[in-house]
Amino acid sequence: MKIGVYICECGSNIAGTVDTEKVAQSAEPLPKVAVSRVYRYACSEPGQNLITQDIEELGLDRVIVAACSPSMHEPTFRALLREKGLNPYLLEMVNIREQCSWVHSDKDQATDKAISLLTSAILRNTLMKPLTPKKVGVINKALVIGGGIAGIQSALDLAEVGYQTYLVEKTPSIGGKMAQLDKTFPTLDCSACILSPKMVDVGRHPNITLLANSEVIEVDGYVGNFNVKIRKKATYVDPVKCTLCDECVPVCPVIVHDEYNADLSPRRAIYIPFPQAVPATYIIDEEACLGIDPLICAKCRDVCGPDAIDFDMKPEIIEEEFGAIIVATGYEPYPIENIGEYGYGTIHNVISGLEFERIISASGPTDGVVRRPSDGKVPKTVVFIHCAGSRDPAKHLPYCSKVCCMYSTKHALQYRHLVHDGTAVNFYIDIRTAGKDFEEFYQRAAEEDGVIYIKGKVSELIEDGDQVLVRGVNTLTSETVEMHADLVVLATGLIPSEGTRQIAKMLKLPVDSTGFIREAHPKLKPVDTVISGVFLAGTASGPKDIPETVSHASGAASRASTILAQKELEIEATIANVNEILCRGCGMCVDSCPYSAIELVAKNSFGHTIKVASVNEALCKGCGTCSATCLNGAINHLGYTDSQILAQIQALGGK
Amino acid sequence: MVQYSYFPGCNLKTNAKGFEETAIAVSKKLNVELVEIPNWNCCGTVHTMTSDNIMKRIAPVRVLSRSKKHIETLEESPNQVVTLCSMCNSTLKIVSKEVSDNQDTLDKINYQLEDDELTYENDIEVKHFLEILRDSVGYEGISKKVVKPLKGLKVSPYYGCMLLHPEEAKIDDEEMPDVLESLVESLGAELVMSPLFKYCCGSYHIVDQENIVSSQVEKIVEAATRRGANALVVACPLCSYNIDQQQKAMAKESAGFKPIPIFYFTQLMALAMGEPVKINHFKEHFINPEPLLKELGLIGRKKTK
Repeated sequence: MKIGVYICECGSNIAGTVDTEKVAQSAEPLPKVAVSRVYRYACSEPGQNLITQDIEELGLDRVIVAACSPSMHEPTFRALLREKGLNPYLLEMVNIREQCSWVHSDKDQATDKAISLLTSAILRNTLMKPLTPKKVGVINKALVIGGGIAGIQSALDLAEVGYQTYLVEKTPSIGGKMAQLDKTFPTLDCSACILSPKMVDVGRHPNITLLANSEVIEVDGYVGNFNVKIRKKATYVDPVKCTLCDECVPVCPVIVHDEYNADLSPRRAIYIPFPQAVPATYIIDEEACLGIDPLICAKCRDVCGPDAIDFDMKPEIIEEEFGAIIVATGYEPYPIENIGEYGYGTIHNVISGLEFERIISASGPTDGVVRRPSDGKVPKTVVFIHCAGSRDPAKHLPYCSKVCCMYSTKHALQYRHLVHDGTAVNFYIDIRTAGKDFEEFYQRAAEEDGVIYIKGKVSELIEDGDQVLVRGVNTLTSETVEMHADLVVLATGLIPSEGTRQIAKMLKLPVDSTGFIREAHPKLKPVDTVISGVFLAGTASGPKDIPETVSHASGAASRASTILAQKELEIEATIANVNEILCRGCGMCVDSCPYSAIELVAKNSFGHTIKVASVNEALCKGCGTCSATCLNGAINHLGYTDSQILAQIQALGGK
Repeated sequence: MVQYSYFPGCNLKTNAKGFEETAIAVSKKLNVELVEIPNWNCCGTVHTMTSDNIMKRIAPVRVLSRSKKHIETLEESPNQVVTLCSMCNSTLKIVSKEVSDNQDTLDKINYQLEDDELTYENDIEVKHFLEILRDSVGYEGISKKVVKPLKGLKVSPYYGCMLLHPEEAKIDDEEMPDVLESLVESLGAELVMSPLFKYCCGSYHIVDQENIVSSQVEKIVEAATRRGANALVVACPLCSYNIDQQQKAMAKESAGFKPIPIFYFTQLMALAMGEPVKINHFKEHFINPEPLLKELGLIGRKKTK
């Protein structure tokens, strides 16, 4: 056994606080150390060449690099060892940067600490054994959860590459929030017109299996091999037979709010979500229908020419295996009824941004004429309140939702285009136009289309006759503002949707303080999650506008392809290992494992059936919780065995 | 009978006698006794709020420490001092929070209190009587004691500022409170919600710029009457004074203005619980509520004057 020790100076990052020469000298007398050197940048090519040369000339079989965190360069040096025919698990990284030089200022003490860390690593290294990573097969199928624009884009990209893709959508049609929008900023494209071709593509693509009206209910397994259970709810209408003739709708006696129109218009219990819905079929709303079992009304079935209505339809459970999962479960608007001072829910003419979106939509409840909900009059003064419930850490959302400045500007501009003699006033805190052509769009609204902008917050809205009294402040002139509006539109922020919260819980994905799913790295891994094989698309990980969502979704599809394209995947070798002779089958490790990677299995021992713990090597993340929990010491963590850790502790306490 | 250490404050002994007497009467019905702190002094009021000089905190801290001593002499008394005036409540709450967050301030104040042989140890909670009614008695307990539901009385709650602000002193959600609303309903009166439930009454401008107060009051009353209210309910003696007195002046000036009587919440409780009318001191109101109450049959035709 010959160990080579390399101390990295990392420029002055380490050498500034740690006496690297002294650290190198401290290693020389230790057992099995063949060479101990200092180098300015160990990770650089000359640095790596130095190690390669020593391996060749001195016959090193183990290498210790005292440098930065292993999360930075462990892969670099492991690759070097593998290249030279050594077992990569005989490399040891000692973190003397993040955990030593960066956090200390006293050079003597920092040097002492670096020496202790290095000594303990050397003693541990002598006890290390070569490990071989296991391989698992990969199912070349993808699951996309959520059928908004993000899910649609991810599914189409994966299907184009050639992977079988399942797209699961909770509601009866794909399209998501984007399908409800009238126009998109800053180009004023018709939202439905640019979205519907993509929706149609999803419906027709031979590689996409679309499961609308369905929910993911269980996810098991690991990267490359996820087992997923999906519940497909009954629609009670056969989509193949349904000819979209609409005969069934007028006879239905049930009237409920239409979700597509933000509850501003009625629909029947049998309905099609919206004209461009995919899958294009009518469905029966189970909860609203007068009764399916026992059958109470059945008027729709009586008039249905092609006999498409089947009240005996039952929900199905679909079980499938997937190699990768993309979570595209989206957002929902902040519940503005929480903002007491704005009276949403008690004042008729105070509405949300999404409601206004439907009101100005050509396919909306007012056929594209701007009418307010209280009396159907065309409002002559509309006030738009930006940041309704946003950027308010004391009471509501602390963060900026990024899209509201722009959609309010778009609303005001659209309103001015529809009502030429109308006045549109926007109250804002700051106008945030950080996007391509966004600033120009805002300038156009303010300068060419006569939208009025007042910097300041609205403190309260009061119903005053058939108008709304807006009381606020203009912070540029330091004056209080009181004005009457016919309609007030609240620009609400974005929060994670219920589906996002559910799926995060089901997949055990960590979330931010705001509830959005956390990325594996906020800058360098924006579509990965901490669970390998699970990726994020769209607003499930935070507020995004449409172009950003689409590129995020394509990114997720591309990251998922890196897994789906493999025949087999190598999995980490530093995992838990059960000594079946010591294990007494108590099951404490099963309960302690955060990844559900351990189970008790029956084993024949000299004619008796006993239970022993068994580790699923693909699921195990090597966190070490089980080996710390096991009372009998029957679980060892490969690469971090008890004897190795004890040697380390001994060295650290040795002085 | 649970005994509470009760801090009246100046207004309850002068302008708002009806508030105090009805509160004491109804509390007995609810098995809650308000026992006045002997030897109390001014709560500190505006001086405490407009200055961060520690001297201005001595009065409220003295109140708290005297109340603590008082509690030790009471039976079954929770560690709480109860106020009726929303200004006293706010002042005492703010200061009690301030000294519990800042031991240094408290030490300095305690040093000043040595002459009074007092010391305060952050060991008492300040409660408004409405909080006791809501959290300890409960609306159900209140409606059980109602013998004469206030049928026909259309009451609009008016909070003013001090019950709901600032954060450390508020007794309910500052935007969507429901403590007065629930109380009004539990007394059998009709609830009328007004959006100006906490629109400023004009406050101390009554001293020098009465026109500010009158314009505020006009809006407050108009918002309530337009929604059908025939009475206002309040918890603050200053709100009550401003609204009551200004209405009378406005009624004199313009024949079209129709004033409505203003009640303390405890007066409504006393009426509903069948207490003698005279403890309400209606005669001291600028807008006498008695004609309305008689019209609705809520007080007898017997001579009450």
